[in-house]
Amino acid sequence: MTASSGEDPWAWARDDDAGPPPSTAPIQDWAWAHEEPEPLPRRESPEQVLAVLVVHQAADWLDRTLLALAGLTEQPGRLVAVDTGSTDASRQMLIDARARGVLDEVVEAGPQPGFGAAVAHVLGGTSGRFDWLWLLHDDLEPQPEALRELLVRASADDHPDLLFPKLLQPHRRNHPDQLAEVGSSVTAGGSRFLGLAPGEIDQRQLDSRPVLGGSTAGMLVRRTVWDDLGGLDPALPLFRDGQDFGWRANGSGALVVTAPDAALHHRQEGRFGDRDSDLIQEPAMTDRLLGMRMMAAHAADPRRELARQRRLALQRSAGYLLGKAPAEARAEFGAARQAGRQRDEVDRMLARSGPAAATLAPGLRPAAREVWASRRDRVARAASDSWRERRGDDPETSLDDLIGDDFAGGRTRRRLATPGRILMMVLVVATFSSARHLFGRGRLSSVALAPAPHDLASAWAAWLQPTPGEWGANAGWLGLMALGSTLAGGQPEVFVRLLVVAAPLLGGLLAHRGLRRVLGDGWLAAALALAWPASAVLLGVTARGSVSGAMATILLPVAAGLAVRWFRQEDDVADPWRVPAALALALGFLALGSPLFAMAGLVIGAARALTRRRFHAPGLAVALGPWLLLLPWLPRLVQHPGRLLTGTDPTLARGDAGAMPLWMGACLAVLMMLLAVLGVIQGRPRLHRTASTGLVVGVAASAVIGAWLPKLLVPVDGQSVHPSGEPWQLTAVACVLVLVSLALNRKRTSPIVPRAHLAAVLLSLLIAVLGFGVAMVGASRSPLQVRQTAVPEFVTAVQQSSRASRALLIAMDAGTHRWALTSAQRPAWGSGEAHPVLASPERSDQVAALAAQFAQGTPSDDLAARLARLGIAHVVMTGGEVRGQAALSNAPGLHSSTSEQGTTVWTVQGLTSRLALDEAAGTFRLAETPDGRWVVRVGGDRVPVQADASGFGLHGSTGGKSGAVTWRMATPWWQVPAQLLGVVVLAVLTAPSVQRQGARPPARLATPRRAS
Amino acid sequence: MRASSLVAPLTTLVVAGATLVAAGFVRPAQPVERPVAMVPPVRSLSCAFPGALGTVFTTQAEAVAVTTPSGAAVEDPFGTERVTGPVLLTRTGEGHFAAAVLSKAGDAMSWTECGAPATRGTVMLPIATDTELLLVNTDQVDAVVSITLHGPSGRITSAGLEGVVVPRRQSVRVPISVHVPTATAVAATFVATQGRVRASANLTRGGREQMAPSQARNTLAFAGVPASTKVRLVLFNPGRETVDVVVSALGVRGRFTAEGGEVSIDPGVTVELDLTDPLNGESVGLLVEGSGPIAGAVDVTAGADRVWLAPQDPGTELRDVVPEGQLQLVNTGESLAQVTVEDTRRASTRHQVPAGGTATVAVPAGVVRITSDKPIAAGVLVTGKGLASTRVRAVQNTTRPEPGMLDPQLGQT
Repeated sequence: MTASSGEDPWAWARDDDAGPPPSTAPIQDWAWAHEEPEPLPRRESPEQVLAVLVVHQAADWLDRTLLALAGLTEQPGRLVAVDTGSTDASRQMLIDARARGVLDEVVEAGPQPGFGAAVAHVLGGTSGRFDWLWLLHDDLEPQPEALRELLVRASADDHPDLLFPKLLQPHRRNHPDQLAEVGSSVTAGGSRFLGLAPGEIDQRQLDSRPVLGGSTAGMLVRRTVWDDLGGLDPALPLFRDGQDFGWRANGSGALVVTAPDAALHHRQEGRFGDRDSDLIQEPAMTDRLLGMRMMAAHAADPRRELARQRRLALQRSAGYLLGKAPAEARAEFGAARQAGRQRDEVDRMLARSGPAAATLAPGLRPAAREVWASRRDRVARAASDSWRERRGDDPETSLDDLIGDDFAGGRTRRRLATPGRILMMVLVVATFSSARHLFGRGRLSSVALAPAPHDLASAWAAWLQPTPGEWGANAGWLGLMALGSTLAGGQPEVFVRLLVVAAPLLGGLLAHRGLRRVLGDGWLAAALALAWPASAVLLGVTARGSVSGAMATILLPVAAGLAVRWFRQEDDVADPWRVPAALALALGFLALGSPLFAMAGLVIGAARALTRRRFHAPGLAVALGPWLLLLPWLPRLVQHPGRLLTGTDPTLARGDAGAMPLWMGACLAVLMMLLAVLGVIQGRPRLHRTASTGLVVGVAASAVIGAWLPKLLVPVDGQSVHPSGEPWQLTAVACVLVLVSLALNRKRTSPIVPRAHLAAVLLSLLIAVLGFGVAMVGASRSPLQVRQTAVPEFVTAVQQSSRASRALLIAMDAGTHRWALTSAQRPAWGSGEAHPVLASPERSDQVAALAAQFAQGTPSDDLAARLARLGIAHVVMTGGEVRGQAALSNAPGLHSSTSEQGTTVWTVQGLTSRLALDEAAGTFRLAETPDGRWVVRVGGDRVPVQADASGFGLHGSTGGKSGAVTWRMATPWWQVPAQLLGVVVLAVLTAPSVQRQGARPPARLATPRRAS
Repeated sequence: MRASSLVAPLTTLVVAGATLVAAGFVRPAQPVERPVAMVPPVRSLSCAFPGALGTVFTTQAEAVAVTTPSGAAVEDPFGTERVTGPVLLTRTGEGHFAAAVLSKAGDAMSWTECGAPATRGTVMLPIATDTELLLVNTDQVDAVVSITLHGPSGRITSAGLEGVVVPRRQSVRVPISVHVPTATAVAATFVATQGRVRASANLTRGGREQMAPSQARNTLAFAGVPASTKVRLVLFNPGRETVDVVVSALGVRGRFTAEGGEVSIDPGVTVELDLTDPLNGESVGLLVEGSGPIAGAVDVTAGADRVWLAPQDPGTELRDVVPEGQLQLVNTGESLAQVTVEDTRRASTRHQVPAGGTATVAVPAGVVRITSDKPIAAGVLVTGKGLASTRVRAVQNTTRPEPGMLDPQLGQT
């Protein structure tokens, strides 16, 4: 059977004229569906209800309230409106309503200190005896059956005394009603506890239940209970009065329940500060203050409880401050301060109501786990809304979502071959294809990538233990690598392979995400996104194993997207810090590898200030934020300013291996320039001239600097190294892609694809084919390989033992030789952040001289002694015949052995170690670079050490102590806090602002105020 | 916006593109080779001489420390007869470094070369019964030495030659007659499994000669073979294959093959060649050419005197300390050699030495420097109350090694 939209599919079952059903059996089966429920026995009559409508400055919404009251199916016995000194048109509207018969009486009460006082004023002057009192706010719109349902519940066998109806958020067209409150309780911290999920839809899913209290809006109370309790407490004039009343009622033995079948829309104008009134200056602060009073008044030790509440408020204040909610923080702080000044109010409350009830029925106060579950739900909901917003979906639930199905068009049909999916597939295939040779045993290395540390502890040590003789902390990217290794199951090797190999894949996907925001989810965005990782590959980022290049490949699209958003963002948006802080965070992480990106923050901040022609405080985040992340590393950068221009491990790279061939670079340059020209031409009519000029200058300057800068040499810790061109080159590519995407982002009105789009797609695909083709075909010749160490295992074992010795490696090569000094920790990540030989050019010369003596067969008699003083236990020579074998054999203190592979190893006799211990004299010497941060312990006790006069080595006395001797560079105490400070500050600014529970829902903004 | 507004951005892009292309043709700057401050090398020479008093001669008196094996510095080490036992000469720096000790035993004088300790080597013992092997350890660690003797029948097995411990800064004498009771020539090879020693053979009876250790080579040259009554050439084949040897005499008559000078030496065998008759009492030079590495020595008897000669490598530049005597230049080549001799008085003389011939020059005690356009060998004959001869060794410069290239990524295969 099918049903068309608008038709009742069950009509045949009700329509007697529709013909008989196929048999009588189904009718009998479904008969219950047509039976009217038995009406409950009614004892409570609306005639016994006195309704009091309190009005104050409500002209903007009062007509809706009056309209709703007029539409009640059962009218209260008497409906009295009391105006509390409104200066707007409220009073006149009440008089008019009285004239129309909507109201029975209008009372002019003049200014009143609170809601309770206004009600008391009415009750004092109203004649007649009513069993029930129904309290109404001027921003309340009862549904027609509201009073009837309240009375139905009031007539139940349990004889409730106080009923709290279901309060709904203001109604929105085409949206289901959302629950605002159905009674409430209070947490131990004094916050209202609603027991509802954020944005929970009203589906009549709630049953009546006992409750602590609730809002006075729509509260129905037995008059005798009201009188017994003395009405609402005047110490709680505006908020929490209903909660307090319910709490006292519960304490007195009255039955307090919810009545979820009675529904009223509540605008909560007072709570959200929309009422133009002098009564409530700061609703949030007032609510907190009154909450504290209420908690104190109901505590066994009111003074102590008040002090506790104030302390909690101060804590929340600090939390809100961190959560970028200064108004909420101010409210909490103000409430705590006011509560301290007005302690007497609590005493007066106690004098009026007597001491608090000893016990409450179980379940009226929420358990801690319920409170935490509620908070967790709020966070999850906020995250979900944020995600849906990012995807462009409406985070609100619409009626279509609730009632739609596949046939009602509620869902869009999803295509399998979307551009995004095809992009991902291409990237995955290209990545795995080009990395097919990188799945072996060994360690990944390349010209700019040192092998990964052997274990996680070494990875962290590479960051946390400063390099002797160098200022400040080690480079920040080492911390990121250690963190990534931790996340990769404690396997540095796994992480670095993922990072280097998957960087183009991740970069492509992130670029696509950014481009999709501008261009939409089409083929153009996918093609341009494909050009990004391909360009990175062509620029040699992957082949050289550059960690800073990999980071730039991943994060630069994010930074570019944020920069575009920030330039487009108005200064007066709700949270102006988020985007610039996120941009600063992205640039900061990039700067941890390539400090130049911190400079980029300054340039971007200045550029925006110039284009807007005014200073904007969040711009400081972009300009200075990245430097925050560099704080621990700054002393080193000051010591070696050349590092500002290089990438990670700059002193490791040798030559230009891994760089793209000239023809390939020329192809990339030509294709990119054509894309840029396309962007300039297409952007002419629709791109602001300043933006266009800025991007063109960005492309040209970055490209030129990126091409020429690597031709130069800069010193880094005594080594002459080439500045890195990667940041500039990648920035140039990013600028081109931004330019093209902004230039081609107009909405297409015709199904015919514009020629400019086709050209951009074609150029991008050419770059992609070139880049990924090179990566896949030339994978085996790439310098990025998984390699085994050439050092014999017995040498490695000694290096990794407690002797911690070093090994001098010499490779003979056609009359010349290359050499390196290795240890258990080197070469590894960070080795190239200082001079690779004992962090000192002078010490490097010493080792070079020793290597030369081996290479040329002219050993000095003190060769072994010199090796031992440097902690070198082995000399490993590979790649050729040993010259001066006899002389080397006669060198004192050395013992040689030659392997079948032709590797000759000289072992320095005497179990050489970095630590030389003279047990008889009780002294020791450490073959380490002198530094004041060395911590040497003997048997766990720290002993002082002095630097050797020779400039290398430390010596000290064991001081008669015994036990293991350990030594390490002390981590500066400020390093981790300083690093975290930058990250946390920017992350807090980037995070969405914290919202107080019950804060104004976004949907209220769309709610009409006046009745139509 | 007009079309002219495109000119500036497009021009910028074109200029940038052109600059990019230009950059592709420019080679990156290369690091300037920074002069590496190489550490000065240290060389030590051990001098163990017969007799009680000695005078040290060295080619470099500067930057040389002279100490006893126990490490005590010798006062005024280069004064006459200032050393009373074995000494260690340690020089820090580059350049030529050679030394010798002139010692007296009664009326007899002895000229003893100093040499570097080694972990292995060969010492020729022309007459086993009258010889002891002297092992001097001037290092800071004990040396453990294994000695192998090779006689006319090959390896001589004897107890007590394995694992000879030479304590640090001490010496050990090994009497060869205990192991080889016959008056034959033997070769002693030594290998230090720990540490190193300066090994030499001392004549214990019939003179105060000392034989320096030598390395096996395909060609051995001897200069300064004195006119004598008996000349014996002792040769040892340390290899694993038979070596064919040709012995040539080089004298005023030119080069000629000595009668009986063509022999084959089995592996591990030491042979003696009596050259008395072929040389006919002339002072000549000898050239031994083998088909494989051989070690050798010359034992000369002139009356009651005995002279031992160690082989040398012919070279174009010889520099050594020598005693006062007659310098014999031996041209081992096939063409005339132009030779310049500069003695310690800086007196320079030029000489022509015919191919396969010899020339004689008087030199004072001290440093002598010989340069030649052809490889030559040289020795100094001392004639006085007795007979002595010493060789002039090739220059052994401690050169400044060229630094290699630092490659921090080395070690990854």
